[in-house]
Amino acid sequence: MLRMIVNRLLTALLSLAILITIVFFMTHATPGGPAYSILGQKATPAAVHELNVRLGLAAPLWKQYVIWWWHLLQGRLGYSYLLNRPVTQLVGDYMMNTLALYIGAILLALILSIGLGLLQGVTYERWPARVIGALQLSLYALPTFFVGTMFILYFGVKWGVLPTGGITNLRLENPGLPDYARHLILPVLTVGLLGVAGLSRYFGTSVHEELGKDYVRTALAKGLTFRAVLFKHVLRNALRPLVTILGLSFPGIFAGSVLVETVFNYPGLGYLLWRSALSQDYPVISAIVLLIGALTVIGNLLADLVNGLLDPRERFE
Amino acid sequence: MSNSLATAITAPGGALRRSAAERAAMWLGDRGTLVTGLVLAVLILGFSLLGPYLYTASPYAIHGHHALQGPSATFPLGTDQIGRNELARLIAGGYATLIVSIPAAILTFGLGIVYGLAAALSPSWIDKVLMRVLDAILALPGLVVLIFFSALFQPGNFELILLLGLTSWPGLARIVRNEAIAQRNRDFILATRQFGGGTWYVARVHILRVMAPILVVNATFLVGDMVLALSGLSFLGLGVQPPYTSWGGLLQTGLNLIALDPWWMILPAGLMIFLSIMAANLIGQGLLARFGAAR
Amino acid sequence: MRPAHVQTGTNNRFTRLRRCLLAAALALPLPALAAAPQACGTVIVPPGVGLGTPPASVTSLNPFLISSAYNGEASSLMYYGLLYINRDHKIVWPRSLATKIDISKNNTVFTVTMKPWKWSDGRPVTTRDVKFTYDLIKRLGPTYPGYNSGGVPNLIKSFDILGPETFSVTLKHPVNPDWFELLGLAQFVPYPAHAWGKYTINQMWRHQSDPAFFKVVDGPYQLVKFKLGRFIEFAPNPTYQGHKSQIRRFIMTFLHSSGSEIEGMQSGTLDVSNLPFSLWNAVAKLKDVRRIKMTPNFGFQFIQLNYKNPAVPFFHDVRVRQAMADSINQEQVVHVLFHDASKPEYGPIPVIPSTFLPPSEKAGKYPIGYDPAKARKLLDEAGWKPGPDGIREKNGKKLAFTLLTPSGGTTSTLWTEIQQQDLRAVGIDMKIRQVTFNQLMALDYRPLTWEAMAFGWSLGSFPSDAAQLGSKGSYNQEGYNDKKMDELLAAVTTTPGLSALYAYEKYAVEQQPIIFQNDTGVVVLARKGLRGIRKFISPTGGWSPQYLHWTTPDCASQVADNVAPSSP
Repeated sequence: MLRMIVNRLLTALLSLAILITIVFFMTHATPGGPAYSILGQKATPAAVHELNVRLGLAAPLWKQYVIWWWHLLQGRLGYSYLLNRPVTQLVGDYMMNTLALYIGAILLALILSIGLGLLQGVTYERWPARVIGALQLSLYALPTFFVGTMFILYFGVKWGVLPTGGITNLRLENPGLPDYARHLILPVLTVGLLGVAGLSRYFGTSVHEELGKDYVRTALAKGLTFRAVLFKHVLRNALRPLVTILGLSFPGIFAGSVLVETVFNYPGLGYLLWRSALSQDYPVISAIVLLIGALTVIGNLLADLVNGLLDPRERFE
Repeated sequence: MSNSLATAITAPGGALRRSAAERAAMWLGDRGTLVTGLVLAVLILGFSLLGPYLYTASPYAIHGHHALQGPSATFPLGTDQIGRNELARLIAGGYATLIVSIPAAILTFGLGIVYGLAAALSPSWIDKVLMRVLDAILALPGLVVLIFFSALFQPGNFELILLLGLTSWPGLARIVRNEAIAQRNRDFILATRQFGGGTWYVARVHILRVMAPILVVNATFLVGDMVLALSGLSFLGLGVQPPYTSWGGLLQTGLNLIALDPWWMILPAGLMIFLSIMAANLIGQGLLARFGAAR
Repeated sequence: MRPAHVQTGTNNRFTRLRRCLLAAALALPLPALAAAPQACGTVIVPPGVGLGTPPASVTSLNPFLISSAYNGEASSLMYYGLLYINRDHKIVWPRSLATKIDISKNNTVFTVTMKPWKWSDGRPVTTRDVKFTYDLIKRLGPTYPGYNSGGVPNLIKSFDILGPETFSVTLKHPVNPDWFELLGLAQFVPYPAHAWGKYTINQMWRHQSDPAFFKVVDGPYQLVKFKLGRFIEFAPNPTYQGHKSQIRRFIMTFLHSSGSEIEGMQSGTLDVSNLPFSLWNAVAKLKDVRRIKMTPNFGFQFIQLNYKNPAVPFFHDVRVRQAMADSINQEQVVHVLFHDASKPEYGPIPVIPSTFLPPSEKAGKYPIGYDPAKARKLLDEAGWKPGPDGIREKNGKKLAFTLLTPSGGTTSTLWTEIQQQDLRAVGIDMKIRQVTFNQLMALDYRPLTWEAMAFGWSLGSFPSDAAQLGSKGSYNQEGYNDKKMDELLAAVTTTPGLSALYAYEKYAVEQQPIIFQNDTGVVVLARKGLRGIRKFISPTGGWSPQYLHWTTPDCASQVADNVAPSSP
């Protein structure tokens, strides 16, 4: 078990290193630099040049790469050019919001998926399963930004029951948790519902496979009720692949959240990433991508570990 | 096709008794997905590729006095905020969307297969390196990479195809590699090798043929993913450039005007994206069901 | 046939359980759906209001370092200006720190007297603070955003303190006093020397978004909260000696799509916002909101032509440039895209207000105007004949070029497309390529990478544009070089009165060194109970939220001061 962990960890670190290099070259290899985003259109050429020197952008590319690694090893993620703050501070702020969104969305998706998946797995081939299948397909084909904007239009604008975006009501001088929660509802709903499509399908298939296994037949023959078999045994076994899927779907959820955060003006990592990409704020872009990469790798590692815990057979791979 | 589990478990002897209605529904269900998907795909392709020849109104002509009008006789799908014909724009948008998505899917397909096979059939250490690189690339969500490059380069159609292709192949490569590894130790492959077949010959002729069903299924899903990715990009303003437009771009314009309730600018484009992805997924699923049964 | 007990058993128990799960999930957010409290007396705007442009945010409050417009709006709330210039380009003394300016007979010495004024920590505002500003400008040199605007600092021979509230500026040669006052002297805004003096320039860079740095103010507002990238919040400065604020809080929030502004107005989260022109009719659907046409920005939009790129040599021919200007139907653009919020503009001097326009132009007579027939004639004369596809050719070369425009913005995209159509109608092929704003600016400095670019430009209070049109101008990246233009521009800064300005304008309109286009105009949405909008936003005077006030019944009790409301 320990060997497996160490092994996975090392490969993860290697992947991260490659990732860091790719990101560095991606952001630095293009014309434009962040100078005008920072200084505005009326910046004098002298100001631009000085800024580039100050930001270390006038040095040759390989030198910037080395310095980048040096800073990284010291734990310094750099200083946002545009927003004049250490990146770690900035990212920390936005990351909390994204995490809140994820956790809410994953919880919602899990609850709905388990319910739908159970129904689908149990009524496989009959009309409830087909209806659910059609629903899943439809949800999968709907673009997130479309769904999000529709939500804003109806809940926010036409019916006025929920805020149309942002994360606090600016009029409140001390916004509390209920205000925060209100602003979370629509984004969580958007990301969560669209996650249901994929998750419930996996779960449904999983349940269906489990139900075909011998131990189910044995248990029923022994006299256990179908319900007992379903919830005591099938559920637990069917849940296992879900863990792996959750880990693997992390990048996908992040990608989805970029669009959702854009639509809802939700100040999360995806939003920050998009804004930084448009203004070429290299430190922020690199930091966020690094963060996502690291989180993905950790997520996969954790998923493997949990699997190892749940299924002893996996420990000796 | 597998039987309904509850009945299979409980009916002693496993014999299945179904009514004629149930059997008919199953037959339709078996093929229904595939057929529906194919019909949809043909309709969409026809609309986008043949449309410009059948409906000749210009998608670029500006009719200032007819701005933001709902559907009418002259403008079947209404006009946008400077008076351009929305139906013509929908057709042109379809053309632009498909002309980028389908080649991008093909590119992804090609790259994924080559990389996956190369990894599977190479010495183990090369395979490990290639897979580590793949993991690194996979850790980055495709949309994120797309946003970077589009924001930094503002690509034309050709660059868009490259961009979409270059960011999506890792997923396919991994599937191909895993499958190829599973296949390469099978008896008939070993036998071919015994008879002197070279590595690439084996790959091309035998492994690919065995993997063909999976590849075809994945290819169809790919097209759907490409349409979605392109729409997302266009929605962020980073996709197809003016004066050309894509469905995602149309959707963005419409969504920006949502306060004016211009349903004719939003629903058609959103529907087309939705239906394209549906078509791709239905075909993929239909094929999966058929091939899955055959395995 | 299905075994009954399994069938119903499964459905019953499972359905019940599933319903329980779903109900539990739905019950969680219900308490949060209770309506949010309404806090009135606060005004919330996105920072683009008054400038009509897309997404950006306030990133720095230090005007010596960064000049982007949103930062200027924010920092001008906290620091009282030396000269307040109204929309007619006249100095308004009651709103300025200066009480009078004495000018020597030869127009070289300007003596300024200031009124008694205090910083928020009780210390007086003195000429020492003005000197601090001037010294900082000198130290920053070319990196100062306003470098050489109005001759500051290169035209200044000496700066002398004559008393705690009097100082004088001596120039190297006689100047046009209006020009120097509006552009040069206006930059001498005092900043707190006792608070800022101990920081090095590097430290100032690090602290430019740090609220602690900006604690000492003398303007109508002080900083309360600053969430980078999300919003910035101001409260009235209790020690301010001018017109006191009548609202409790002023918040600038940063949005990034024009759609979200309308949604904000619709749902009540915003009080004032831009109206994206594409959503002109939306106001009919917004209850409790009114639409206000404001004075347009003092500036223009233009197409910059690259004189240094050998791929487009035809830009050197004035007939081609005039033809381009004559082929674009600005009236149609102004009417269809901008709903008459602005007027067509053919030269570097904005038409609203008409203060600086030559009398002939005030009467509407221009040598340039929408006339496709004239455009075609000019192109024929210049030797460009229509080819088989309608695009003109000469000696095998097509009259075609690519225009780079900044991405984002529905209306600006449409505008470019209309221009494209208009140009094509006379046989000019303009292709469009969108790039990010940063790229645009970077490419500007590499002459072989671009052919034409679309830009917007806003002038300072005095409309002479040596920076753009002078051959040595710092923004003249296109390489326009014309001796007569240089002479006329120089005359503007030294000749008193308006005659030099008229001559410059006439020449620029005729020559079209850049293809001048109308400004977009400014239209604002405001909540019906909020008055004072026209005093709040002025194209030359920055923002003055202290003139805003609420009149709706439930808000009246929350205003900070019971001053009789001024007319909107």
